[in-house]
Amino acid sequence: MAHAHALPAVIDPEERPGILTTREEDEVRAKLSASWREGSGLWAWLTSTNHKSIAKRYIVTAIIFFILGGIEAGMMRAQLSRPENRFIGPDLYNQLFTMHGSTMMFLFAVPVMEAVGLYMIPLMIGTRNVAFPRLNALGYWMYLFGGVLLYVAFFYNTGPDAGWFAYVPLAGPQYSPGKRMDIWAQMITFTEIAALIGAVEIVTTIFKQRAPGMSLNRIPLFVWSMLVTAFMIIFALPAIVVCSSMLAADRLVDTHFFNPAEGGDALLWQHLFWFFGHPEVYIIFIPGLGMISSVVETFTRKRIFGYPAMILSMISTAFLGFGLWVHHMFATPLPQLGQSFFTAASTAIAIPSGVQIFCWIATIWSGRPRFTTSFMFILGFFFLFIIGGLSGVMIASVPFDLQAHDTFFIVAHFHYVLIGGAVFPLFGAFYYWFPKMTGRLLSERAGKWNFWLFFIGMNVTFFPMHILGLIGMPRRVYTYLPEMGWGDLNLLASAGAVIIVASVCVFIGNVFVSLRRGVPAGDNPWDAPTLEWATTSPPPAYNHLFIPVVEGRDALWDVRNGELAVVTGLRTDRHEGLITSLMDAEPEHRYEFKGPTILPLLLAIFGGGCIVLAIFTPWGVTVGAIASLIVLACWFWPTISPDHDTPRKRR
Amino acid sequence: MKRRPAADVAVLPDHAFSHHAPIWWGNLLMIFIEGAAFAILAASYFYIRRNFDTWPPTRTLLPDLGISSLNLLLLIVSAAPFWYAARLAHLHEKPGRVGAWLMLGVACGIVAVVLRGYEFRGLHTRWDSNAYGSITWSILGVHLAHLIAGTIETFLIGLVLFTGPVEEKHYTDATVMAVYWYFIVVSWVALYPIVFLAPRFI
Repeated sequence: MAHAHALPAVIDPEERPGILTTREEDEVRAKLSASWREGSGLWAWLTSTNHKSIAKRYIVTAIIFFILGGIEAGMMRAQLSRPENRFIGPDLYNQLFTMHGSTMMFLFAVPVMEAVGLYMIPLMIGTRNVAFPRLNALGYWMYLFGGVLLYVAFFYNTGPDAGWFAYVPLAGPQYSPGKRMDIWAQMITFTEIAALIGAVEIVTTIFKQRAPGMSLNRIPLFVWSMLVTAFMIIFALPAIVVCSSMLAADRLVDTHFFNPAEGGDALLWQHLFWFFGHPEVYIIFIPGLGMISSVVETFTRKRIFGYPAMILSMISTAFLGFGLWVHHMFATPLPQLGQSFFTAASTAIAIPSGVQIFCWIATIWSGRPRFTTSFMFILGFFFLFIIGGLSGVMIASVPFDLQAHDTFFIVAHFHYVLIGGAVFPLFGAFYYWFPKMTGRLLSERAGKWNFWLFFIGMNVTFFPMHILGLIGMPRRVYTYLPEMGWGDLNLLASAGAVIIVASVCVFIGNVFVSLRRGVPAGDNPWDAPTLEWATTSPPPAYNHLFIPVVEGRDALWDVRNGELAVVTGLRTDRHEGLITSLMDAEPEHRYEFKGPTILPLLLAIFGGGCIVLAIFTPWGVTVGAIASLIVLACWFWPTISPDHDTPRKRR
Repeated sequence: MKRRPAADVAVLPDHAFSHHAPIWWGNLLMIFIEGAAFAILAASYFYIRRNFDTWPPTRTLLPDLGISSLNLLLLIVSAAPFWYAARLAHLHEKPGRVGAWLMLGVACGIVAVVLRGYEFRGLHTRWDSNAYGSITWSILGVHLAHLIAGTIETFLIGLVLFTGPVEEKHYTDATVMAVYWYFIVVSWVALYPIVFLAPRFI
């Protein structure tokens, strides 16, 4: 196997001091443009396997779901704005809060984070596509079909109504007859498949496709954060795949996993769901940490303080994140030792979060911050996340949690954590990377409006909910009596929701106007250090004209003599990339990425059809499996490429 | 920015085995995902155990050891043709030889699937009898899905090696397939004692 370790010819700078001439570069550019050309029209759109095209539609789809989830939240706030309101009845209200939670968790937060990763990671580590381009396309289609399934059902009054964590027995066959919860369970199947595919792509791409020289200790922190997140997805999501399948089986083929009359257990659902559900919070939050590091580093023009501490904190957060799930179940009969353990673990997770916050503060303190919209959203994160973190430490304590359980205090807590910890960094990242994705800057003036309206609206909406919870208002009630005295604070919260809506409208307007009339960005408008800024904005289909060679942790700030070291010798007549070693990113071999194909869409249609049919009959699984198998056989069947190399015997 | 050539990779091969190949990692991560799912099923088994006075529940016979043990042995033995096929692939032997050993693996897979049918019968319970039946049927069923998928995949890779056109990467596929089959075998070595032996002790 010596050939696998052969080192490429390192070009001695003494021997060839010259830089590439414009003509040489133009030649390569013309060849790459020809072989990576993406057609236009519907067929090209349906068959694309380019990570940027797919990630862009992932992001747009996720934002549409964010808006839908926001509309549901707005309707709930309208209903709760005064006591005994008759705007929405209890049945629709139950569907609304279930749809809102399911949409925001499964159709917005996780997909949008993975999508940003799938767009940025190949650019940031200097490769031409993700490791398995066709699989990546399949992931998007599965996600899209899952979301469409949920919303089609909702518009036909079959939206799930047992809450986004679908506790049994309420979600079981006895108390939720009809198809509502089956729709929920299968939407989970779709989105989990998509999320797992994204995770496999991310890990493999980061492990094997980094530009030469990008050893583990030079990986940008955003890429590290997505790596940690992807590993969490790989170990957390199987739990919900298993338990949502158990729920579907209980409902469809009369198994008894959650039926106490036949030895099943309702708490088994809670354990399995939260073994996924708690890591899920960190799956949403850790990419945000990476985004913060990117934005902070660029806008303070200062190398991140404590890079190793940052990575170790993210990894320890991920590990601890798997040991917290029972704190969602403090109100169930648990052994005292269990309660103490999970209280301790829940409190301990504040430590790595604290380490990171201090590292960012140190970076900002010693740098020269530029207060762009992007940076403002990060500062907003600090404020909101610390409030959410503090209420988190409060409810980690069992006696307090028993009081606050299922009240609006919890609603306030997790919205501070999720909006502060994930949505604010995401908006910051959006303002930061929008110029790279589109070639135009977002308006800073509209951006400041966007930020301040969101920041104020968020606090006006959710801070009163702490108090509402403490004075006893339970969550998930569709109305309340005037004598309870909850009216004023609810009205205030609803007014805050109006401000958030205004902010999101400013954001959408800003995107549409800037797409047409925004200031052209150039390659690197922020003078940022990472590799995605070394290529044009928007990047060409092949990402980097030449794969860069990385010479320091902050690749572009560490470039010597203003000359970017690059790799030559990759084939330009096919989709070829470079595979490097896991630890030190030394070149190992060349690798062909698969080009456009309709197969992922077909597989999603048949596989998805199988999942949807399974709502009605177990035979759906059989039929769909056979159809999918035929597509898969085509997928793996070799195509005759003109230059295929017949294996030769080597001894 | 000006660009300075620093390394020429034209001399590098365009394929590799083992952890040098992206598909090896994709397969390993798949194994992590499915291994986690098996672990969750096993945990659920012991969680449900606590709700019963006896295990298996009263009026349910202990699961049969005969065919299930035979199938376990068969699965362990079935790793051998996969191991040998992978070795031949590493040595770049003729595609037909690699394919032939894979087809022997396919034969093992088919027999194992048939025997699995008898294993279900040997559980002496049904998925809808009680939670014991639900979890034992699930463990057997989910593993069966892996057996079927693994057998079909192996068959397809073997067929490609017979019919061609064969490229270097198909040899990598054969070795990665072997790794996946080891996972199918090892996971059953872990699950078999839970379903068939544990009821005799817990």
